[in-house]
Amino acid sequence: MPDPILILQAMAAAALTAAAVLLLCVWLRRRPRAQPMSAGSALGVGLGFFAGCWSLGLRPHWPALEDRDRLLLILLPIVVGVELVAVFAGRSRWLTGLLRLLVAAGAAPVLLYNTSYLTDLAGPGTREWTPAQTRMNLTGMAAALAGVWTALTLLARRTGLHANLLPAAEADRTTERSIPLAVALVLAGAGVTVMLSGYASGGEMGLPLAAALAGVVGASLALRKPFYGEGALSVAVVGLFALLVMGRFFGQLATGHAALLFLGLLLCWLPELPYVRRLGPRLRGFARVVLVAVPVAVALTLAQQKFVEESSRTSPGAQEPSIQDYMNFGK
Amino acid sequence: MHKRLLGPVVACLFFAVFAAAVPARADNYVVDPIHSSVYFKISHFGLTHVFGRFNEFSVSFTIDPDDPGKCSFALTIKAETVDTNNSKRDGHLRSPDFFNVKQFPAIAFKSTGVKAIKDGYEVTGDLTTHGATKPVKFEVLGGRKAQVMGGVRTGFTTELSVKRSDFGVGTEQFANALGDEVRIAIGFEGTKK
Repeated sequence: MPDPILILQAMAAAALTAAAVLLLCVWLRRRPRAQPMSAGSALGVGLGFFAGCWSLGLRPHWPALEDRDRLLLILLPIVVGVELVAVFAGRSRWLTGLLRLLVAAGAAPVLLYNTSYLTDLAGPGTREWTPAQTRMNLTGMAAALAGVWTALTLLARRTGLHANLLPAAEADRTTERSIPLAVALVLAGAGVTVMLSGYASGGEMGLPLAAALAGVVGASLALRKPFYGEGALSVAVVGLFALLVMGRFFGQLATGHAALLFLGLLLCWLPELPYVRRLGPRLRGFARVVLVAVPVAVALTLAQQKFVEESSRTSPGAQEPSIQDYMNFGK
Repeated sequence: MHKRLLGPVVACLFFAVFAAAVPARADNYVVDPIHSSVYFKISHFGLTHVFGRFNEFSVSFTIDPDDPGKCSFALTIKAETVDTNNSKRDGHLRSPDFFNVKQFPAIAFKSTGVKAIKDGYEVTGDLTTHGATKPVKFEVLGGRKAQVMGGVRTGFTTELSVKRSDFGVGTEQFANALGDEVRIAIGFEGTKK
């Protein structure tokens, strides 16, 4: 059973590290405003997440033989790097889009590298997925990540454009804070759901990531400036995807629960529908967080029920030899 | 007459000399899974031991009574068949918190040296679990042969102790709840091929 005090300490370490990195970036380079905050938010979430995991005792090992190691040492640095490139690429959005697409395509293969799903680990023909299944599963996961990532990025730009009295070119790089807060809520919920699904240390990683994201949002509030947080949002979305893939393929997270949590983020778009968007930005932001909380609550409840049910059940794999086995052996 | 006998006598002598020069053949055994088991136990909070087993494994062994150096033992366990009689706990043991069976599906042992001791053999070899390989040494006791169930059978029993931290099984967070030492008991019976 994970230690709640240890988890709280890790979350505090993640939030403080993330906030400190953001403030440091902004303090080191005050003008132009957008670049240091964007870079600081992505870097802050990445380093905060890493610090939180370290504090939890989940220290990565090299070579990265396991999924946690590959997340922290390969996927996380890559996505932070891509977001830093995106910050300094300026208006070359095609380059950012291309790099993000590559990350979306590579995330699942990196996490599942050299596992029994993709590789014949126990002799020829023992891999669990046929080549056709591999293509289908990896393509499906890449499409889901690219779709949700793009949807949230577009939403962030749209809400930023509407919420700030800035020139359009700068305003659409800002992020309405309710979006990262909604993602942080899903991350925390996904973390607990994965823990309940038989992968404690994998699930725990969701909590420092949520805290790191909340940390940069909090630090941006302290700055009393618009939040240029697309990078932070991107790191968090890829982190959430990784968490769910790990829970699904290394733990016992049900596919439906994982899909509910990940695709539930698309509910963030609901307050942008006609009529509803007439509401004030704060009310819409509040609605976004509340809407996203619904699938999180459902997934958590279902995972809790499954946990209780399975905890009292004896192992189904325990197949006792039949009388025929005894009678036939040696004949 | 003498010439007629010479051929068979030479042939007998040749056979006798040749037979003496060739050492006794080592016996290979195919293991009977019904009469073989791999069990383990681990301390829980220092209060008691929790017992578990692996339901699927394969053992192959070769016994050369005249030359123990030619004996060999190999064991491969399917890690995902871990069974502690609790579905949820077994799922947790399969996850990367412990065995990470999707990444490391097999637990394997292969002997590198065998020495005869009283009532059995002292076996040294390499144990691979969770991607880490470490040398281990233990005694296998038994080896009595019997003509039962339609063939020549023999069997051995062994107990060994390993530290799960040596193999990186179980994250640090479980250090308080679970003991580091895992006691493993293996019994296997095989029929001569």
